[in-house]
Amino acid sequence: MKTDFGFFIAADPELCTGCKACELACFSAHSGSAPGKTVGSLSGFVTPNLHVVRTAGGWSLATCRHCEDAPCLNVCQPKAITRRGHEVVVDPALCTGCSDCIPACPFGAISIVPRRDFASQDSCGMAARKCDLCQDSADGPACVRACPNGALRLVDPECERRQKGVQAVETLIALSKL
Amino acid sequence: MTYITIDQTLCIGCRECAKVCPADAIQGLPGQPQSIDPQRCVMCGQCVQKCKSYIAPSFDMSRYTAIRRERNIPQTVLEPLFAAHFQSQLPQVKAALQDPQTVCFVQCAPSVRVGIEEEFGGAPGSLVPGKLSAALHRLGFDYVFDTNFAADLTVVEEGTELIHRILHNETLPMFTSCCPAWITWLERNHPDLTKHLSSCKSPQQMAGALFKTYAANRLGVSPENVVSIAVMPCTCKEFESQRPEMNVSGYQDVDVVITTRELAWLIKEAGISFSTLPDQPFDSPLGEYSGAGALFGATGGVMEAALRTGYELVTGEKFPAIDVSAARGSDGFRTAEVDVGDLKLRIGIVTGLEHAKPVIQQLQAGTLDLHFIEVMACPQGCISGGGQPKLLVDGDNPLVCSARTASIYAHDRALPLRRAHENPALQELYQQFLEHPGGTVSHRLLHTKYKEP
Repeated sequence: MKTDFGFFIAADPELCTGCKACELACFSAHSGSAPGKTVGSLSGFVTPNLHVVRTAGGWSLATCRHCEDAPCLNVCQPKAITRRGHEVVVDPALCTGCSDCIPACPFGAISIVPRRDFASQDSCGMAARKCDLCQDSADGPACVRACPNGALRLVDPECERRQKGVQAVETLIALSKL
Repeated sequence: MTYITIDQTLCIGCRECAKVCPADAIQGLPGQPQSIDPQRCVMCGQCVQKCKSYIAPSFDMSRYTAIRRERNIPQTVLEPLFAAHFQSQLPQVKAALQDPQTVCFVQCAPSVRVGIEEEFGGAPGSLVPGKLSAALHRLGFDYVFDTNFAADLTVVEEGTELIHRILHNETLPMFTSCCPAWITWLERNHPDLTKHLSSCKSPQQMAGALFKTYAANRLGVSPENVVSIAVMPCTCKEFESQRPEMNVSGYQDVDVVITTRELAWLIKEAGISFSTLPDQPFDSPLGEYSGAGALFGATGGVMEAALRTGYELVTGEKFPAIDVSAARGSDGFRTAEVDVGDLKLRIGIVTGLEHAKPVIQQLQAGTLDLHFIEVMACPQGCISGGGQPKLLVDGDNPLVCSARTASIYAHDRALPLRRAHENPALQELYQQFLEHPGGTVSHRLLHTKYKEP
């Protein structure tokens, strides 16, 4: 049985102020070492893998849910989208930029953006980009670290289910003692 | 008035800026565009540093280019633009550089040389005084002078003033007066306490007062043709330069101020490859500086520089340890006691304007037992000023600030002279023009008065 559930980033609408610190942290974390740490070292598109969106109920994130039966993965002809552990990832070397994944994704989580070559500041074609949960970073997702309000977290659905189950049972026991 | 604005079309109302504003100047409801109360804003620019609500170049450039144009930012700039911003003064600088009639004198602050290369992909805190001077020369500035020289001058004038105040039982504690955001805040909120401010102008305005008098005269340039430009890490320095009393030279002492970020835009627009520039020195007669002047960018730097000179003025001997550990650190308010001959000099250092508020309360309550207090409005002194390269991620702040501060101290250590009063160009200025520290000429050009109630 497969045990690697897809993890994902979620924002608490009560805490999120919509400030976009997560977007810039995401972009910075996925820009390699060539651009510096300052705004002035950037030139061109800013393409984060998550977007803060305003909804009727407050702020929310448009980002990848790393679906179990991922529609993007299923439609990807060149097999550029694959599952790796808890993540659904895009291999930019295989991606043709065909955009099939964009209508397939129910969360608006994938963008077709210029492939970035920061050393030359040139773009070389287009490719799909999406959240990879900062899989290469030992410190965890950059967006979660950057949030000034602690509104973002990495959700492990199985762990979440277990905790909620325990909470529910404890609540029921407490109620039964009233 | 204020030079800081929040673009109503870009602001999403997160109010993160309001958390860092030390003057409670940011008004608006959560989720709605915010605005700045110009009566309260002290123009420190920390909201500009904090704001993350951006617009970046995209396939449809029309909105981006319209906003960029509104802010007077060159067309070659393709960095994200943010809701909280300062209005660029570059058009005035470019006009001056292109006008064949004008002679452009420029000065640059200590912190610019430890920040600017970050805008060209350089490591945080890269120390580049030689490249900075070379870039300014290539841009067409006729004379590239240095605020660090004027910082040395400030040390000598301010140290002399402090000793005078102590010996004559005049108003103490004395606060430093280099930071225009601090001065603006004090004038607005506690005008009865402005008598505690040193009468010294800031290094920028001291340099400005000398540009169109001493320097123009030395160089045989007619002062009416001089355009006096300053490059600062600060978004409040333009405001300071436009204060009506800042015209003792008979002209506006400093005509226009740009920030570190604006200078980077100008360099990029000119197509200069900053990182590969060969080093070039600053020009005479206002370009030489000691390590003490270089320290002004770091919190505690003015204090350390003043102690090195003040100690010698009082005791006739050199300060025992040239690295004054009592002045270093990063806490918002720190105090120390330093033996200066028979005097136990009690010093205080404030960095971050919000930390000045409890100090003021102590002063009002009569419980503040200090002689001399340095106050800088920005979180880690001028190296973290509102006009310094803006970080994409706030989490990088500690690393970048400590790298910039380390470069300030490294620069001081590496300079052949480390005490302001030993600067030979400064000694020559006194011999030829100012006569002596705190003298009549000094008072006319280098000192000022603040509004009192």
